[in-house]
Amino acid sequence: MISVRSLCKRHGAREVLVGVTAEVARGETIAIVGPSGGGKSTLLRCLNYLEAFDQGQVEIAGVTLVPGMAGGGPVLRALRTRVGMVFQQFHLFPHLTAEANITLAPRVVKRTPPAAARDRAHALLARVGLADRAGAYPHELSGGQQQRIAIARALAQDPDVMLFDEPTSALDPEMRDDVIDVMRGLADGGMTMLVVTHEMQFAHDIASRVWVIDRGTIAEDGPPAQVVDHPQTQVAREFFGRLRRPAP
Amino acid sequence: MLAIAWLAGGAGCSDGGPDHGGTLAAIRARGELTWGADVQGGEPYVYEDPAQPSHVIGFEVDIMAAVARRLGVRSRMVQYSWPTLVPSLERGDFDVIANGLEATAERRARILLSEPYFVYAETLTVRTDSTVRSVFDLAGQRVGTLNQTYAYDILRMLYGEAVKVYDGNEEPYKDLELGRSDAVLLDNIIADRYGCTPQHPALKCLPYDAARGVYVIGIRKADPELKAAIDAALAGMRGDGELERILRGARLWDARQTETWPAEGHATGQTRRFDGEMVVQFLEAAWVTLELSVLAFLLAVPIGMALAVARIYGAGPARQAARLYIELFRGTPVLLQLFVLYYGFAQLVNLGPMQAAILGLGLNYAAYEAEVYRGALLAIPRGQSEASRALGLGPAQTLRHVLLPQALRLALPPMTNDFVSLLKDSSLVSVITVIELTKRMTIAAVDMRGWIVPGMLCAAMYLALSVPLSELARRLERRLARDQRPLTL
Repeated sequence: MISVRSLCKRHGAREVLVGVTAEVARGETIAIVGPSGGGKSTLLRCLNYLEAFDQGQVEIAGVTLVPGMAGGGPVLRALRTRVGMVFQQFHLFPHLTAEANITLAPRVVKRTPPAAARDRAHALLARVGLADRAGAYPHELSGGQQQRIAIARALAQDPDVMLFDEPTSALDPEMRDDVIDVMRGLADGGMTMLVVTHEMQFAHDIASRVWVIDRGTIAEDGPPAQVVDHPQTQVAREFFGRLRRPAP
Repeated sequence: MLAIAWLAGGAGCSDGGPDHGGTLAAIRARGELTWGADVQGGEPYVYEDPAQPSHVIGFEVDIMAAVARRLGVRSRMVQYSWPTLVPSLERGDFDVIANGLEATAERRARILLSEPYFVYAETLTVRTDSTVRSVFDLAGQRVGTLNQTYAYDILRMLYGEAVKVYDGNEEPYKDLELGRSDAVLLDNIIADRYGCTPQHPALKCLPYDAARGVYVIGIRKADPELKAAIDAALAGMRGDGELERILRGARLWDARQTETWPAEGHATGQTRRFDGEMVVQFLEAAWVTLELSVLAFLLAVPIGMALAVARIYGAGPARQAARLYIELFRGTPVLLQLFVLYYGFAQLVNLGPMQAAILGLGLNYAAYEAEVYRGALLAIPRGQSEASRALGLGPAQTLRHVLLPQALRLALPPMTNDFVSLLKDSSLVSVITVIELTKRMTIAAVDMRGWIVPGMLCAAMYLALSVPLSELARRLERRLARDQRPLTL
């Protein structure tokens, strides 16, 4: 489903990604963890070309990405209907209702008839547990509700891959569970997912694989039982050790 | 203009003051006679010397120098806008008026008028193919003249409101040549020098005098002894041939000067009163103002939006072009832009005054709207366009569905501001002969010899237009900016 070859990305003089190579099979759920500034989000954003990269190649959902592609080109637009993205800050469209947020892309990009788009939106709202909030505007919803709408919005394009960039970091603890439940449902349903996260519970219980990213490379890659419970590298040991330390 | 001049604070009051008289004594004490005139009146009256523009010349400069010399003092011209000369004299800003001031009964009721120094003829100018033979053939035709002249009074007496009024000497003839009007009635001095000239081969001046009148010096009511002194000076100049020499020098001497002086002009009869007809005229003018402002704004909004988008997202040349447009239209006076559009481009596109006004104001305001939308677009968080792109929307779709709707609601308060401002700026289009609310007020103020009633009527109508609009905008704002209600402080 995803194949990353020697991906390099520079911000000025700083190397953010240093030759990342990885494979993801259909239906896998990858938890991407690691210290801040290690390149997690950048890697994720390169996978749907929200950020361009300097070297290497990505094959994702049948689309091949190379450096220097045009911003609004047909390849990228095809890519984005097949790869959904969920942001830390939700980025719902504030001038549209929950339903209109979800139906916008199908109507505009895929030219889905309004009635069909609406039906689909209601099904997705039910799926994320917000069937009764179709007419609500984003500011009338809690953070957890907004993030679930954002997930429904991304799902409305029927993507093959879902990318999550710290989906629960901006949420209060009591709201995280609702969002994580939705993501667990997606993973169980066979969606291919890459999730940048600090949630140990997610990495441990839901992910099929964990990547520890540090200084622009995948430092450790394996099933949670191995990476989380028995980290091999110094950075992974420090990372999980710090997170596991009991709260004061 | 009249009302504005009356309201403006007065600098440079002469010693005499408006009410107390004694101006002649003050002139002698200070050794200087000050006289008001407008260089916009142009050659041959009072104008800047082409060879030495800081210096004014003209036959009235020579006449006033001679008058002052005969009073034993120096002469100094003071620049005032022509329509404000009488009120400024009354305020005491200068001693006398000498600038093509026609003797009419209305003026005599207000100020003292000297003996004439020049006899002029109202001259009708038409296109060479015109069948018009006299002022009485003009029913249903568009006739141009200068604002607040005797010719204007004659035309209004004959034909009511269907008169195009101008402030400069060139423009009436330019419009006549372009077919925007059918005739121009003005003093022979102006007609000879600006109308039937080699520059306008398509125009002819009819050889008959439509009417005759005289130019006089205007003096404050309280200064009969100054009038007597000036009349004596003029009589002396007539007697020893100095007046003839001056007029010959300016190529103005003709047989009319030695014939009997014509009877005093008496056009409108009496001053106007506030009545239902005036309210109707103001309502019509308010409609012009509203129509003009709404259409101009409807033009400014899409152009402004396109400019803002070009300036933010456009490729290099588009961005530069948008910037150039904004700087050009924002950085030059809208009055100048209207002039260029209406007169400068007349050979290319012959726009009607209303079309030119809408286009001119629309293009000008587009520059301001562009910056409002640019600010609004830049205020939208980056995440919005990122989320939109991540959903597969192209650049145009992102603009149309995500960015512009959000920008518009951010832009609504400044847009309301701009619209109310446009409503009032629309008064500038009177320079291209559109009679809108402010112009209607100045006309009524002249007819009524007072600005208070027309001024209040005018203000009431502007408010009646702008207040409901702000209210409408307020409601729209509330509907659009649901999530932007302010927190209490």
